[in-house]
Amino acid sequence: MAMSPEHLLARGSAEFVLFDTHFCIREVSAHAARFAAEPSAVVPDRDVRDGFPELVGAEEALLEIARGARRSFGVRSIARHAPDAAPLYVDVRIHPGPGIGDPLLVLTLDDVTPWMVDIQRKAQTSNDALLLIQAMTASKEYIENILDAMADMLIVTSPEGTISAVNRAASVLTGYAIPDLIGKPITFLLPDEPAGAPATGVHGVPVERRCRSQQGEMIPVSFTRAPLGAGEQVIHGVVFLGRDLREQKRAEERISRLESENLSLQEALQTNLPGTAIVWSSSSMGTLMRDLGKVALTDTTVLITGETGTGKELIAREIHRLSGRKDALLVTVNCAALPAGLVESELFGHEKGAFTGALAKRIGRFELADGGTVFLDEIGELPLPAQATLLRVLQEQTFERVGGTDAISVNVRVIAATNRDLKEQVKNGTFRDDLLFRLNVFPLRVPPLRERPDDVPLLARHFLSTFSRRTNRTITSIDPETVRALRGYSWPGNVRELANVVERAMIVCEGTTLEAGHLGLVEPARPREDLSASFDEVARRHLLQTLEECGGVIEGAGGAAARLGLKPATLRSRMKKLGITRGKAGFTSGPIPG
Amino acid sequence: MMLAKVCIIGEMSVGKTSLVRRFVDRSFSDAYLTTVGVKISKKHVPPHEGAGDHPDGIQLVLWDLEGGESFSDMTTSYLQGARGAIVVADVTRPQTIDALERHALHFLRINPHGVLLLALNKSDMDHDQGVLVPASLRTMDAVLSTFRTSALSGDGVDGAFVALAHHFLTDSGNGNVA
Ligand SMILES: Nc1nc2c(ncn2[C@@H]2O[C@H](COP(=O)(O)OP(=O)(O)OP(=O)(O)O)[C@@H](O)[C@H]2O)c(=O)[nH]1
Ligand SMILES: [Mg+2]
Repeated sequence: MAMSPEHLLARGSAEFVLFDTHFCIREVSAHAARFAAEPSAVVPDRDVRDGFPELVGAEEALLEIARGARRSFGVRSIARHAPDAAPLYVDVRIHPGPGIGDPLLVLTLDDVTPWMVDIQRKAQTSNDALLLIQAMTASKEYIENILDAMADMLIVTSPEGTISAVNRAASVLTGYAIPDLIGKPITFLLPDEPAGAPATGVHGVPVERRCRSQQGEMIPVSFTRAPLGAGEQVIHGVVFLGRDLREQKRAEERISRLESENLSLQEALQTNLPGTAIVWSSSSMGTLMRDLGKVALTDTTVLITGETGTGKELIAREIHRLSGRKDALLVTVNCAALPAGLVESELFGHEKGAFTGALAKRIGRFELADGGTVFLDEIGELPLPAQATLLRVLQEQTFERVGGTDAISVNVRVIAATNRDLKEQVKNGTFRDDLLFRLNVFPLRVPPLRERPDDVPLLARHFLSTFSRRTNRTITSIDPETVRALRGYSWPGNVRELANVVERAMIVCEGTTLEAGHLGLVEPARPREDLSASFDEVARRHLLQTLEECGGVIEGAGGAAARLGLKPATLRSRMKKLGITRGKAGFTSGPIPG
Repeated sequence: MMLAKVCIIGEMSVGKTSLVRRFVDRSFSDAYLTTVGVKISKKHVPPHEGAGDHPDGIQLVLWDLEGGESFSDMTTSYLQGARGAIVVADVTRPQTIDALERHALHFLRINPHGVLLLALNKSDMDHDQGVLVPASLRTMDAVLSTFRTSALSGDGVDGAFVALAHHFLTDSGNGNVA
C-alpha cells in the first residue's frame, strides 16, 4: 500500500508513517524515525504510539478520523531534543489515509525547528516572552477550528490558482468533499475567475461570482480576494472569501416586489378618482387656488371648509402635491368612517396586547405619514378623546401608541376638512375650541358650485372627456341649451353631483352631443331647503320631472324607464312606493304611503 | 501495558521541566530554558502491591507544557486525552500558588474525569515549610493530594509521580491499554 505522492504534496509534508486502526505501523518513509520520540520503535508492525507517545490519549480522535467523523488531529511544536542537545521541533498530524475498506491513517511530520528556535530565542530575551510564545504557537488545529466555524466560505489557492485549502463552509455550500477540491484549479469552482494567475490589486473588493455546486447549480456568491504576500503581490497564493448570496437575492426580490406593489397602490389611489384635476375659471376658485399655492409650500396646518361634494379631498391632495412633502405619503383618514372605539388606535397605532384583539403591534396613520401629510376628512366627526390627542400632535408632534409608554415623534403636516360648522360644534360642546384654534391657522373655503356657475360647463366638459376615455364613448360636445341648463341648476351636491349627472347622461346619450334631456335635472323649487329634503322627496320630484319630459311614456326607447336606467317594472313599483299616480292632467303625487 | 497521559501544568518557571527531568533523567540543571511548545517523555512505573491486574506496571506519557496564563485553544488541544495532571507552583512566588486553582479548573473543564496532583516545588527554598495550598483546592474532589517537591534535591519528586501512577493502576477503569 504505497502512499500517493499527491496526498503528501497536498499537505506539504515530506515524512510520514502509515498505520491502521489498531495503531499498527504499515509503512514508514525514509526519514520519519528521525522525528520520533523513540526512533527505534518506528518500524512496521510496531505500535505507532511507541515511537510517537503524543498519540496516547488521542486514540478516540484517531478512530474518528478513520471513520471520517473528524478531519485531522495534531500536536504542534513537540520538542524532540534532550535539554542540552541540538534543538529539533516537529509538528505531528494525523489525516485520513489512502485505501478503502480497512481505513488507514497517515501520520505526517513537519520539521518546524528553525521557526521554534527563533521563538525560543525571542522568548529568552523578550519581556513579553509569554505573549510572544502564545501568539506564535497558535496551533494549526486552532486556526482550522476558527476557519471551519466561519459561515463564509474560504478558499486558498497557490499563485497559479490551484486550490490548496478550503474550509468546511465551502464544502457544505458546494457539496464537494474537502479532499475533492484540493488540487483543482479555482475555475473548477468559479468558472468566471480569470484562468491562470489570479489578478493582483483586488484586495477586499467584493465581486459577484457564480460558484459551481456538485449538484450542478450555479450559486451566486460575493467574493473578496486577498493576495497572500507582500502588499498586493501574490507570493504565497490568494485567499478567496465568499458569501452565499441566495438568501439575500430572495430578500431583495421580495422587497422590490413589495415596493412596486406599494407604489402601484399609491398610484391607483392618486389616479382612480373621477377627475383628479381641479378645473376652474371663476375668480372665487382663482383666489382659492392662489392661496392654496402659497400655503402648500409651508408646513402650516390647513382647514378646508366647504359644502359636501365641493372636492375638499382634491384640494388637500393638491396641497400635498405642491408641497415639499410630495414624495412622502399622503395618508387620508375619513374620521366619520373610523370604527368607534378604535379611533385612537387607528390614528396613533397600538402596542401588542394594548387591548383585547390587539394581537400584534400596529402602526397608526400618523406614524405611516411621517415625513408626509395626514388628511383628516370630516374632522367634525372626531370623538373628543381623539381630539385631545390630535391637539397634542399638532402642538408637539409627538404621541404614544395605545398601550405604549414611549413618546413617538413624527414630522407630519395636518390638513383637515369639514362640511360642518365647527364653531357651532364648539358651542354645543362636541368640538374642542383649542383644537379648532389650532386647525384654523389657514382656513380655505371651497366655494359651492352655485357660487361659480362659470365653472360648471368647464367641469362638465372635463368629466365628459374623463368618462369618455373610461367608457370608450365618443361624446364630443354639449349643446348650448344643455350648457344653460347646467349653469342654471343650483347643484346642491356640488361637483360630485355634477360628475354623477354627467356620467348618467352619457349612458343615456346615444349620439355624440349631450342634450339637456339627458341630464335629468330636477330644479328644486327652493334649492336651500332641498338640502334638507328627504331622499324620497328628491326622488319623487326627479321621477315626476322625467315622466313629464317623456310625455308620460314609461316603456320603450324614449320612455322614462330607459332614461332613468331602470326596468319598467322597477320604475312602476318605485312610482307606486312614492305615491305617483297618473291623472287626467298627467302625473301627480299624493302623500307617500306609509 | 497500561498507558496514561499526564500533563505538567502551572505558571512559567515554576520548575515543570525540571521536575520531569528529575523524574525521567534523574538530573537537574540551574540553567533556565523556557519551554516552547511541548516536550513529551515516557517513564515506566512498576506495579505496586494491589495493582494485580497490571503486572507490567504503567507507562506514563508526560507532557511538559509551556507555562503561563494561556488558556488558548492550543493548550486546550495539548490537554485533551490526559488522565491526570500535576499542577505545579513555586513556593517562593505566592502568585504561582494563587494560579494553581485556575490551572486546575482549566484542566478539569477539558478532562472532567481527570485527576490532579499538586506540587509545591522549590521546597528547598522554603525552609520553614510555611506555604500552604488554598483551601478551595484541598477540598476539590479531583485533587488526590499535595506534595512538597524539589527538583534540585529530588525530594518528593518520585513520590508525586508514583502516587499518580499507582492511582491509575488501582483505578484502572478507563486506562489506555496497549
Ligand atoms: N532551587 C530550585 N530551583 C528550581 C527547582 N525547580 C526548578 N528550578 C529552577 O527554576 C527555573 C525554572 O525551571 P523550569 O523547570 O525551566 O521551569 P518551567 O516551569 O518548566 O518553566 P517554563 O517552561 O518556562 O514554564 C530553572 O532555573 C530551574 O533551575 C527546585 O526545586 N529548586
Ligand atoms: Mg518548562
